[in-house]
Amino acid sequence: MTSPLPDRPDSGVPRVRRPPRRRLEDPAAAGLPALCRATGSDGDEPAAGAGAAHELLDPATGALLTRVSETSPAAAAALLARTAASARADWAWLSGEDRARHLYALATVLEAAVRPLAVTAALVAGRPVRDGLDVDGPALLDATFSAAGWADKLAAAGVRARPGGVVVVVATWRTPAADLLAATATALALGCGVLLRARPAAAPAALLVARACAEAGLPAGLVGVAPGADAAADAALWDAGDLAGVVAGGPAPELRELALDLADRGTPLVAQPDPAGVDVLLPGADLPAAVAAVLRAVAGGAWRRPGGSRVLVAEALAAEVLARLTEGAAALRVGHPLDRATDVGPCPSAELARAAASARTRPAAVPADLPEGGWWALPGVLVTGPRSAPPPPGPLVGVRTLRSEAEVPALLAGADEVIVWGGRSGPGPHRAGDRAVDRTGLALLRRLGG
Amino acid sequence: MADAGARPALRPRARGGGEDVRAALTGAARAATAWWGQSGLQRGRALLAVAAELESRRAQFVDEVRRGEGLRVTEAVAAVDATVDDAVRWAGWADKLDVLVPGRWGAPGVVGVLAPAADALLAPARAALPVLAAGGTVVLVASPDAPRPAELLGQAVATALPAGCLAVLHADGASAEELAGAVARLDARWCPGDLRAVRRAAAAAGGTVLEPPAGRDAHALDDAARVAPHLPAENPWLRATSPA
Repeated sequence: MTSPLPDRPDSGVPRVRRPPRRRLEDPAAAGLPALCRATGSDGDEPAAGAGAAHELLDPATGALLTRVSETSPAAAAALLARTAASARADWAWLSGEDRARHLYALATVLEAAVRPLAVTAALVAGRPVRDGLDVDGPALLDATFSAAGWADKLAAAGVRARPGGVVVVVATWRTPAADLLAATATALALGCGVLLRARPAAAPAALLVARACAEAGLPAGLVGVAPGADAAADAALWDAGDLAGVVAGGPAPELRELALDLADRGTPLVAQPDPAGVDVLLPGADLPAAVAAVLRAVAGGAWRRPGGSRVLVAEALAAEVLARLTEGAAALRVGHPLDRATDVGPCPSAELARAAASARTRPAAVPADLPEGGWWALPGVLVTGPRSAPPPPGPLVGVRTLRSEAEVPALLAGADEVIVWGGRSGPGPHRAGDRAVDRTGLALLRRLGG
Repeated sequence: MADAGARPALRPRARGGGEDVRAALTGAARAATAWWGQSGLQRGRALLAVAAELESRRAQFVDEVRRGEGLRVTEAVAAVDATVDDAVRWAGWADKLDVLVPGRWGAPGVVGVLAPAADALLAPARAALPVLAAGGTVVLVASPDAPRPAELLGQAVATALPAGCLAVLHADGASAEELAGAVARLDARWCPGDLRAVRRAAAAAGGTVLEPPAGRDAHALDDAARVAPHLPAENPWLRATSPA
């Protein structure tokens, strides 16, 4: 086991040499402000009544990136009221066709925001910028376009408009931009305003989204941002009379608490639990494709599967799969998230890096050219059994051998994203789970629209 | 609004003879392969670009609809705006057709469309847009009295979709019968007139004609009814063997 990773710069981890890295993407593309604060407030200093400022650290170096001003309960409630007023005055009365056109314009404007969002995710959460540009970018544009198309089809979808309400979208570092935009555009399609309740690490991305909405010509104040993690400010939002719904992701226990908070008022909650991913590999699987998909999940780490990543493999395939995964994981390039050659960036938090390091049975050397002080965790494959816990979220995958297919259902408890390769249905992949089914965002629309 | 002298020259119009019908069908079949190969989102984006093109040429469309149909300016504006709205609407349906018509997802292929004499833009647009959204292509026989709005529609579509996706023929001679005898499905729901010759030609060739809905205006059809006849029933084998 390696020594625990510190929160701040360190150099105690063994390091290995390798070829120099390529040129990095310009961090200025993110346009990070010195202080991220609630929309509608001016200046660089916290407004009166605002809480303390959180420090956002660069996961690759541990250096200060920016500060995020905590939104006070009063300011959060005022911001929600302002969003509702904007929705009532300038948005709710528009026809579905008009709202659709505005939202299509947003989808177009967002094309220019793909790079800033990708660089922001790299800086704040260690998401490799190549994935941000090539995977997250198209996904967020598709999600916005698709959600925009619902605005004039609510009746056809069996959904009623909710004009003048406000949907609060709780965003964290692990909220993919596509999910953030899908929730935002869907709420707007329903005639609601949107308040992005951005946890500190999500504040820069949320501000970029709000700016894109303004540039697309949406009414001023229709999409607001209230950064912070203060429970009292959350409570002020949940008690607001104009609250029409909440979209939130996170660990299942947190979401249960949120559901309880909202239960008395009957406010709809669209809970998106952190996905724990399981790939099931059975005889007949397309092994090269399956291994490549698992390695993509490993590279995506906690960002891709915040609930962790597991493989259940039939005994007959286990040795080959383990060998391929181990070889593939070793070939993944760990590097600076702004380097386009990077497959695996740093962990988004010191806790995750520490947990990933603790889960490994043997110490792994961090490449010497990586900045010191980063929350680095090397990709790896861990063999798990009935008595060992699955690996924590991060660039790790736990592989467990199946004696028979009958074991599978019990082992899928808690998994949100299940992909089956092989077996009775053919080589695969065969997906299960709400997220795979809700390709068009219809489930989100119906849960928000009632 | 554009006056007659300012109208841009149009390409020579296909006259609708047998040779023109065959050429249009060949082009439409070729385009159908490429168009069906695009994802629903890609098709939606292309249709949204068509809507933008229609809107950018709104004055010209209004002018042509007024001239062709003898409408008041407010009526012509309403027809053009409804056409643009429809293009926006089907841009949004292109990736959601399995929600609109569950269990259907086959390729529409090449669909023939007959435009009525008195509704030169909105009716053919409402017939063609669902087909395009679903990944099919259209050979359209324009209104015999006012072909220019349909021709302009074809030009607008050609700015964003592969060539041949919407081929427009003039209603000369027996073009409607020629087309009915050459496509598997002819959409004549917006044509309340005498369709006997068209029906006979389609029946002889084993095709079908979509008739005007009994007792109501085709404009009252909802979105599902408009697109469903163009979506073949699901092929279970394709569904089972397609990647997730």
